[in-house]
Formats: sequence, C-alpha cells, structure tokens
Amino acid sequence: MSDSTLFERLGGGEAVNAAVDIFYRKVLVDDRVNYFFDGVDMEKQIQKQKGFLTMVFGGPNHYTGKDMRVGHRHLIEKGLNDSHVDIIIEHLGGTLKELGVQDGDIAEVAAIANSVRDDVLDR
Amino acid sequence: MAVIHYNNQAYPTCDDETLLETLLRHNVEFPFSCKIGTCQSCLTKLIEGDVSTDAQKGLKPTWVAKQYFLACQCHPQNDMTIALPEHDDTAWASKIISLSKLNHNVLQVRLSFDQAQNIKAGQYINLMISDNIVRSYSVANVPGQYLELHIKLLSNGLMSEWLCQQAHVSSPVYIRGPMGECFYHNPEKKSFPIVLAGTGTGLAPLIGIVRDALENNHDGQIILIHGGVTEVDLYLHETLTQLQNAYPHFEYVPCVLRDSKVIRNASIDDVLLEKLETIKNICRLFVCGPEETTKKLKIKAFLAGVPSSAIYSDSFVTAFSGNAKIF
Repeated sequence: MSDSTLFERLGGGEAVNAAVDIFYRKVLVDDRVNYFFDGVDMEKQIQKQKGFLTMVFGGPNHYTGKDMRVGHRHLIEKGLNDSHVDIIIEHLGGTLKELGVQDGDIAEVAAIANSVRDDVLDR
Repeated sequence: MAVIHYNNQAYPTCDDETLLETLLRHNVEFPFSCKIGTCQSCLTKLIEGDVSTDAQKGLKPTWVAKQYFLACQCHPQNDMTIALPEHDDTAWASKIISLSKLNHNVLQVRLSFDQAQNIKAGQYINLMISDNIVRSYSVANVPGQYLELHIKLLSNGLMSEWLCQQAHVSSPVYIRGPMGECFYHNPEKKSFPIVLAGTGTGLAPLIGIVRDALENNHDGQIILIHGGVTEVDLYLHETLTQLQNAYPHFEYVPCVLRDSKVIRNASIDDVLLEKLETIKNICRLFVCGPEETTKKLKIKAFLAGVPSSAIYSDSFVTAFSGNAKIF
C-alpha cells in the first residue's frame, strides 16, 4: 500500500471517468461558480475536466504553468479569484468522498490542486 | 509577420491572426463556414512552409500525409504557400438525383452515392458546388442507392440560392467526408433505449439514426422528439407518424412552442426531461440542431442524470457572416 502512488490508490483512469460526471454536475449546479461555464460545449468541457482530474489525482499529464495561465485568463476578466478556487477544491473533495476515497488521499488531491492556484489566477 | 502565397498573390499576416482571417481581411474568396475547426470547409493544401499539428486535428491520416490542414486553425509563423484541395485527394463526384420541398423552408436533396464510401446515417458531409462554396449537411438516410440531405433554405444563403435557382436533376456536385461521431453504433447488439431530440433540420441526422437502428433490429425503445416553433416546422410529421405505426417500439413525439390544437404545446427541454425520467441511466441520447439549443439540451439531460459518455451530438454551427451558414 505504502508503495502505491496516489493515482494508483484512487483507481487511475477509471477513477477519472467515475469522478468526472459527479464533479462537473456539482460545479454546474453551484451558482457561485457555474456562470464561468456559460456557453461552453459540454463535450469539450468534459475532456478538459478529465485532464484536470488526471492531474490533481497525481496521474500522467502534460499541464504546464503557462497552459494554466493562458487557459484561465478570460475567466479572471470575469472575476475569477481565490474564493472560486476554494469552491472547486471543495467540490473535488465532495466528489471523492462520494466515491469512498479516504480523507488522507483527499487531502493529497487538494494539495495538488492548491499547487496550481497561482498559475490559474495568473500571479 | 509572415507572408501567405496563394494563387500567385502575396498576403501579409497580422499578429495572432489565423490564416483564414488573413485571407478574408485581404478580401480573398476562400471557402469557410464554422471557423472553429469542425466543418472542415476551409481545408487547405500546404505547398511550401510549415504547419503545426494543431491545424490538422480531426483530419484523416491520409489527408495529413498529403499536407492538408484547416485554414481557420492555422496561425502562420513563417511564410507559406497554399492551394485549395485537389478533388481527387479529398472529394468524390456526385449528381443531384432529386430535389423536393418538405415544407416552406426545408429542401430534400438526394444525391447519387458511391457505395465504396463508408458513410453512416447521422454523420455529415461537405457539399461543394464550386471551389468556394462548401457547406456541411447531415445524412438523413442509411446510404444505399442515394444520399439524402435536408437543407434549410435561407433567404441570403449562397447554397440556397444555387439550389433554388440553378440546380436541377443531374447537376454535378462534389462531396467531401463523412465526418462526425453522431451515429448508431452497436456491434455487440446490446439492448438499450435510444432517445433522440432536435429542432428544425436537426431532425435530418436523427431520423437517419432512427432508420439505421430500425434496420439493425435495435432491441429497445426508440423515442424521437422533434420540436418546432409552430406546426409547419414539423416537416416529416406524416412520415414519422407512419413509421410509428409500423414499429411498435418506435415513438414519435412532436412538440411546438405555440398555436397548435393537435400537437402538444411544450418546449423540447420539458418533453425531453419527461421522456428521460425513467431511462436516464440506461439510455443513449442523441441531440442535434442549432448550436445553442443543442448545448442547452445536453446540459439539461446531463444534470438530469444522463452520463456524459451516453450523450452524442453534432451541433449545426452557424457561420458568422450572413451569407455563410451550414444548415
């Protein structure tokens, strides 16, 4: 157990597929953040969410700080700030809890998500 | 700054412009429609220079090998020489077999079909009537003897104008494609309900998928919801009513926003959610039609509980300029 990576413990790509619908539904019904997703195409967004979840689950990904900055700049113009990042991390935790993930692993996921906060908020 | 060479002319680019934007800014006639890399109307051949793989996303490997790319997805970094696609590489010749009006603004066009082309009902093709006029349309039948399209006639559309004023039986056209992921695919012959919802000529791919599923003896309920503003928009009402009578497991659900004493007055959103109620976890959902309607229906169905992986759609992307629409 101690040898396994976070991504393996969570269940790898299967876990991403199981989590993506739960997570995206939570985000879309939350009026505090759902306006950032107005007008987006669901299929493309699901793909992006899968990429994001793979990264925060500690899986293989190709995200760079630059991608994060460029990809969220238009949202910063709409008012994206720390409080919204907190809400997204909250929904990540809620999603993983629903899937029966242990608190220690949820904290690790939250820490990875937190590590890109400054890139997302372009500072 | 880079310079684009096309038809023996040179066109300088501006910062951050796509190749297509450069050409249009210089008033060059060039085929395009959606501008977001979906419809492939702006397929271009690279003669000299480099193009990034981003501009080749979604193209067939054989086209990529022949240096094809999409002008709307290409941000030129260095000088390029380009040309329009060669028909032999990318398209096949066809002829109009019949033209008939299905209602006040929908034209049924049947085209001769080369059976060597592997096209599924519900996918879309590019119809080309000249080098510069290319539009995407969904396939409304299971291609056999012919290919059937339902074309919405637009008062200022170049394709509409050509179809209404010049086209006749045996007019030659070129076809490129197929493209799109919205079709019936069930090689394991699994049993599941299918729900299809669309407005306007979004019906074309949906009825194609229904016909394909019925021909394949699909095991499971098939529910087709077609929405219109008023009754006149339900352009295949008789055909679909007959199909419902012929196949007990097929249900046709028309709805209109107003003014009908016969058809249910309800929004397609409400009808869809109602029909999904008991089967949302097990069905496969197809949504087609104008982009905004499609986006909205997909999100509503998803939030109601349909898994994202069970939702299939191709929205009809409207080009930005008045005379270039793909319907």
